Amino acid sequence: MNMESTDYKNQLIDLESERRVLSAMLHSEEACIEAYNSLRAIDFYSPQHVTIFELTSSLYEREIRPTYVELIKEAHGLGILTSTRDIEDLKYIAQHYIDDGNIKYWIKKVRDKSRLRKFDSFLRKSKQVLEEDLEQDIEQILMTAEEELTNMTALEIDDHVDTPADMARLGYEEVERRFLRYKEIKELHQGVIPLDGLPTGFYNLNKVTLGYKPGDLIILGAQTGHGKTSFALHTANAVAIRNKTNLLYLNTEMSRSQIALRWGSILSGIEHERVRSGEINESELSRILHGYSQLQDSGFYSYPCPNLTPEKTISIARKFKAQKQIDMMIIDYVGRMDKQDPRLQEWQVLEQIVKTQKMLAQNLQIVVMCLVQLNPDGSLQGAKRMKNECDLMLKLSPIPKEEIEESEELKKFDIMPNYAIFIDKNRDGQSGIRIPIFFDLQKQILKDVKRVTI
Amino acid sequence: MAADVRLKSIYDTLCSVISNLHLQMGILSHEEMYGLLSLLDYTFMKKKDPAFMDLLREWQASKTEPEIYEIIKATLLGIDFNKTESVDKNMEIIRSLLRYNNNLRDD
Repeated sequence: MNMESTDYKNQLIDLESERRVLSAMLHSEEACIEAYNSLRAIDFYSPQHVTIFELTSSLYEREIRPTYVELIKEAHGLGILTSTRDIEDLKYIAQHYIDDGNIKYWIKKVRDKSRLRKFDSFLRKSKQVLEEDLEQDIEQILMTAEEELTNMTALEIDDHVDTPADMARLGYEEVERRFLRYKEIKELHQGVIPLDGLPTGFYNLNKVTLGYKPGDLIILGAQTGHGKTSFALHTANAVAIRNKTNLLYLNTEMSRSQIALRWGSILSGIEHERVRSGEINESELSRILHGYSQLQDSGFYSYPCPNLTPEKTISIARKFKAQKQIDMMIIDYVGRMDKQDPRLQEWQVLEQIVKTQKMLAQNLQIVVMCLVQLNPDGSLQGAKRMKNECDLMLKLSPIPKEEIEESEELKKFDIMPNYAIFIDKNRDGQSGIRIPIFFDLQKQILKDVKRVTI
Repeated sequence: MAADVRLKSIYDTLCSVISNLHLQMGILSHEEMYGLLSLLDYTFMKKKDPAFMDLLREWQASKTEPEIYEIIKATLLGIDFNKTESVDKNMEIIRSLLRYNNNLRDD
């Protein structure tokens, strides 16, 4: 009997896997990010492991790399894990080394045991219910049990099933919110629509999209040399500098100093070439200094990353979400990402990247903007698949010279537009719209143009 | 992989030895334990600064006057290893102290 009970307990507990996950968290930042995002303290059986996981996660959230040393310092500061026995236990845990690549395997083992324990607890509770009250409504008992069991079989932590009541409440709340906003627009904002998400940096794009919303994947396509990075930094300017929202910018092509110099030009309005060569006067230098002071107070985080892979974007985004609470990530650009599997064709790689980024946006509830390269004929490789995955697909392209010269329509704007943003897909609103803008190539600045005559 | 595990194992063992020298044996003060743990992290995990290690070796190899030894130790304990300026500034102080110590011995 005792033997049976020990075997059963062993089925529910896997202390070795718990130690291996904790050890990996203390020795590798990548493993720490993975475990932090996949597990919760309650997934650990041992109370000591719960404490270590909580301390490690807390260090990580505060941007302190959770090494063994930092863990001991943190624990001592809190007056815990101070006995010799605790230190021996910690050393024992730390020495459960794994190859960092195996972290997902060990995390799964910890999570599976945690789910089994929940199931065990459900069975015990159900048995107790039957033993305590024999007169209960059997239908009710079974329905309650079924609901609990259904929740337990949801694989992911964030899985959520909407009941009809949930859906009706959500729907009404959404309509009510929109109704109140519409009233507010009429009464307070005199017709100017407040945004639902982050500002796009363009008046007309704001109007059509109501801003970039959490969970959105936005794809911006442009040909080589046609302003992808300028568009990305224009967006970053609107979101991180003017709106002071935290944003992560991943650049696969440019160096740190190249990105920093671009900002000098964008924020001062001085030609990029002159900023780059240093051909400026003292008053311009002070304008540039003022520009950089805006950048200093902003939410712009830059991560130049020439060897970016889809997997790496996940771990970087998770890290910045946990530590800097970013609301948006821009990937400039996906064509430069390293292939994980050389056998895949270009379109397959792009599809894989785009799918990963959509899931990332939804899981972290951030906006992800991917910049992609258009073919010389303006088409996009793997466009159909990309279009399926994204919420908003934009294409940035120059307006043909002949059209600029001949079009009466374009002459109705305060500045003659030379570029246009084409809304190819918009899940939440109108698409097929072309928004004319002005791209100052020398200053690398994109600008709204206003219609001045009808 | 084997070399990596060996390094991790040395780091973990050192970490627990330092902690026990304070907790169990009372040989190290709280500050000394903190200082040594930070130094351990700085040299092992962050894999920075061979110049710093060379300086520590130089200090250990030199016959330092007791007062100067204590000043160097206090300087080391005061370093904020998360700040490069703090490490650089204090390294310079330790270098000057070692030079001063050598001059004293030469005299």
